Amino acid sequence: MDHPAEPKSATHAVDSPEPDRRDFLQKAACVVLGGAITAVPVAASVRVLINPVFQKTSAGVSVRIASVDGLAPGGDPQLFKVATDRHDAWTHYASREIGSIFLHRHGQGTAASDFVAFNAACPHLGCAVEYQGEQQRFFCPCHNSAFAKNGTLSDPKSPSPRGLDALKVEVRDGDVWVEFMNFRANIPEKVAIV
Amino acid sequence: MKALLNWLDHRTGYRQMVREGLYERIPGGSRWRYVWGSTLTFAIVVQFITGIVLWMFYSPSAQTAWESVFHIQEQAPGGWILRGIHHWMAQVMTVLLLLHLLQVVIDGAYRAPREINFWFGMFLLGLTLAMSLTGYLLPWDQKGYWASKVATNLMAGVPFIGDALQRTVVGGSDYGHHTLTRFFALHAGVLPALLIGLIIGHIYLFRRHGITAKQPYKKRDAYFWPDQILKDAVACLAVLAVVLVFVFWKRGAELTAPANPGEQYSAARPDWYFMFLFQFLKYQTMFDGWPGGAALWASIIVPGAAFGFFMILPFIGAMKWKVPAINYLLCCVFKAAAAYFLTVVLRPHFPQLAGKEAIVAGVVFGLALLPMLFGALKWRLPIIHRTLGDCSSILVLYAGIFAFVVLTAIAFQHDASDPHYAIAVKQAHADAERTKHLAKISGGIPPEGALALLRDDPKTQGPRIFKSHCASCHTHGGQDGMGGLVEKPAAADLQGFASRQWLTEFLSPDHIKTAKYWGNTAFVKPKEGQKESKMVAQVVNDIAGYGDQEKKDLADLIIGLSSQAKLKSQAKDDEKDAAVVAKLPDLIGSDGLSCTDCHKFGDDGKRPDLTGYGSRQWLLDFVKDPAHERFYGDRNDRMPSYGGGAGADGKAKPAKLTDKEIGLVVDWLRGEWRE
Repeated sequence: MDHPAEPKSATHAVDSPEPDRRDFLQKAACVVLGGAITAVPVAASVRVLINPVFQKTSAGVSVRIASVDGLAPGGDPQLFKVATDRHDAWTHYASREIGSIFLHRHGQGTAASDFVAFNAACPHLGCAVEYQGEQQRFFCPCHNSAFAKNGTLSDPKSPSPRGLDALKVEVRDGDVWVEFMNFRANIPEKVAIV
Repeated sequence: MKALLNWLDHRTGYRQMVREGLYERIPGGSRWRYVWGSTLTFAIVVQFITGIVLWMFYSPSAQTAWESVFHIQEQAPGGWILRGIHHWMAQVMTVLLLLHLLQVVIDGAYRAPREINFWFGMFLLGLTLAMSLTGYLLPWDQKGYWASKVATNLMAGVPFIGDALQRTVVGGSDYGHHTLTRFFALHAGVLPALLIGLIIGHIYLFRRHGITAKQPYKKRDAYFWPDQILKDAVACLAVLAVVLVFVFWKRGAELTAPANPGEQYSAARPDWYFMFLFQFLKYQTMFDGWPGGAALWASIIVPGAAFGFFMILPFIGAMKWKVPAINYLLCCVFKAAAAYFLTVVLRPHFPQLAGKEAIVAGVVFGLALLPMLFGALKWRLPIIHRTLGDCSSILVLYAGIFAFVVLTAIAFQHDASDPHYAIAVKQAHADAERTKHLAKISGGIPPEGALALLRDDPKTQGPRIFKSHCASCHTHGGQDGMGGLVEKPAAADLQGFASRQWLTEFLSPDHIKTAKYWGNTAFVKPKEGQKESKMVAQVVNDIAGYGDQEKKDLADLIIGLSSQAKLKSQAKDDEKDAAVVAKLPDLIGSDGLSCTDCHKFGDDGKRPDLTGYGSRQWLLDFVKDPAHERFYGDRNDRMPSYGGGAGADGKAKPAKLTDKEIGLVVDWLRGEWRE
């Protein structure tokens, strides 16, 4: 780029850049000051930006799903929506769906051990699995993972690294309660997300 | 490493670019007066960084805008600092813009061949102000909402296209979701893009023409790097320091109560740098009768013409005469005009200066003498030795800044001396704090938005309903509930109604006939054909003659009667005095103080009913229909039946307030709200 309007001032010519101490100190001061003034807004921004990394919530929430009498012993697993009060950033929802589960009454009794509940999210990448009655299996329509009625992987070609995630079941006063939580996807271990 | 950089340079030529950027020649060496452009660039960069992160938190809709800003401000750790930096940097930027403009004009950098760059700068000024204007609305709080309404209503005054323009900007006929989405798109998309484009053009043209060096040169020439950059960096550091001081001093940026179209906000003001326009609008009557209407002149033509006048500054500045005498004369005229303005026009606006004319005159006179003083000291008074064009431009700029400062000062002075403004501001702060508090104790904000929290809150709504419906007669702590005066109180002060203290004073010969209780009611000043209320005679004559035992009985009766109200503030005392409270049925009846000779209590007596006196239900029933047989019946003074009621002629009267509203005001009177 040329500077047509640049005054050609012979008397005020710049001396060749002085490689002396003062010049170095000036440059160092520029770098330090420039870094400092940039660091402040960047730090203030990044601190708020990465906030979610430090935010931990309690893993599980106990939710009433159904009454014991409403589930036939030995029937097919049934899909239930899980609704509870929920906090999303600033909003407090009195009742909001936070996920879904399959609840299965495999025993004849009315104890917690007669029920089994699975989080309906596929442990592979979080798609919603469906229950296929005629084949007695859970099937994920995204990547074809298949799970037996007891939640274990039934097809060795399933991409899912683990079986369906069982949830803790409780029976209180004739109602089935499940401690709902989500788990980290695509790892062999079952690790709750907090 | 070197090979890699060579490879890169070969393909990008970056070394040449860096050289161009860093080694700009500065004739006469680096100077502090050249820092303003760099500080503005720094301010813009800070606004972009902080703005983008704020963007990630912001949610533009009528139910989420305030709420998301509340979340940034109150819940996200460090969020208030981030928002504070963005807010205060915007304020400081406006000041920096003015300083930059001032330096450019004084140093003559606006003249040929730099006219276009001057215009770029003026457009950048306009764009920055547009950024402020759009940003002001985004929190969707009362302050931003009402101030922006003023701005967009002014827009409607543009001839021919005003209505269409307003609808386009607002996104409809009234404020709502689309106002926010549009303002946000302008604030975070369109305007920043224009800003970047213009800044690139501005810096390109600046580099093309080189710096307008201040004569005479003080030192030998230097390069931008590192000489000038060091000064720039120090200046930026100072700017940042100022911003941070404000951030921590004011604890971030203000967030007033959520926007509510139904809640008047009489303290609606634009940001301080628009206050001069706001003030100017108050003088629009001076354009009465002008073609197009006064509003058009005050809000669009005159401010537009002033801006236009600044745009032709490069041509004014081109006048090449160098006549010190004329310049001196111009300066004197300017000073005289300023002095006239300060002493004659402004005086009435600043009543606190009354009696201090001597000081004002002294200051003005002193300012006028300064040139002579400079002359005597053989200092150069630079402006006189400039060309006529230059001198004129500088004076035009001074006049503009003078008008800006003066109008701004008057506006703030008006507000400072206006009690209504002070009340509105105080109320807005109280509402804001209350909303934040309610959001905290509710564990969050309901999906329908923060306004819902306020709508159902007795502490917020009670005083408002009281002011509109009760305070034409009643007072509350001597005022109308919202801090205003009650012109002609005609009924009792209801603060602490049914409390022990209230009853003690009411049942005392010294107080019942005062304005605080029944002094102005028909019970003391009977209407035509009626007598003074028996109750008043009872208190004034009988109670005054009570012996010691009766006095003690009265005190116990008051404790018992008051306990029926079940006031939150007295709960502990009521519990403590349970034994005294138990005596109420005996004390109130014919074996005690014989209240039931008239009053109803339980199954005895006639009216007004004292069963459950002051309780929530009693008050609800009373406010709904004080003329009911259970209460005052035909002796009711002027109090309307707010919940409707039978009416004296048997015809049902319409309700003035809903049950919910009556509940809110009753809960407020009883001090029942969530803490």
